[in-house]
Amino acid sequence: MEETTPNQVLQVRIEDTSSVRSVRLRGEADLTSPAVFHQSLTSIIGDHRPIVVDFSQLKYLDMSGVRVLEEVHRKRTQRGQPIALLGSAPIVHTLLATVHVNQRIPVVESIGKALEFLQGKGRS
Amino acid sequence: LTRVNLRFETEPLSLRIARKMAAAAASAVGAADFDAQRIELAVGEALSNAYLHAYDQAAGPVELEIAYEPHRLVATVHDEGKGLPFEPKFPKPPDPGRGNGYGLHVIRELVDEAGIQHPGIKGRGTSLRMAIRLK
Repeated sequence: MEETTPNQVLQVRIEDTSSVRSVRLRGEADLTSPAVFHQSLTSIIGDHRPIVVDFSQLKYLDMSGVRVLEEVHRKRTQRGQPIALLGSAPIVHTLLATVHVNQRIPVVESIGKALEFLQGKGRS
Repeated sequence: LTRVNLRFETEPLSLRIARKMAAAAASAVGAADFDAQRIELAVGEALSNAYLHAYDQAAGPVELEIAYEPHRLVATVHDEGKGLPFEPKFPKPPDPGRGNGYGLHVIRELVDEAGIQHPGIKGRGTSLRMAIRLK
């Protein structure tokens, strides 16, 4: 499943395997793309599978996106199902570190590491 | 001193174009890619502040001034709105329970120098000044 913002700056692709649902974001998430970004992330809140949000092809993220991400993580954590972030561009990583999001949501380098967290430590 | 001024309305697509122009300006004067990305994100957050807080998500006039000095690029965002709904200072460290002020904290951490003035330097609104050193 793929959604695109009207001006094509953010593409969201949701991919499922037997063990994990991946939300892959490609492009830029800013004030022009809140609907697609918000809908794609909030749609996963109730999903029973482990969720990995793949930032590896996201070139730009601002605080409007971080707030959505934090909201989704908080609600998933309340359900005992936190999320993990996969990869991030240096500037995106800098933003996440600046507001300490990377201390609340694990940023991992592979799906395997994400599953390790989501099926283990993250559920405790 | 070389200056470029852009004046536009706080409409989301205009804000994106403006932040990308800040990045392009940084690249044009020899900034490294990551430094151009730093000023782009800082300018983007400053413009978001104007859109979200100064004009309550409505269109309002905003100006982006980019100045090149030897070894330094300075970007200043001026709005003519009502100001920020919180004290115009750079909060540190961020408080997860606090809804406002994160954008200013991000700006302060991203750039090498930052300053905020309310009323702005034109006597109204808010002015946010951000500078990166060029290696």
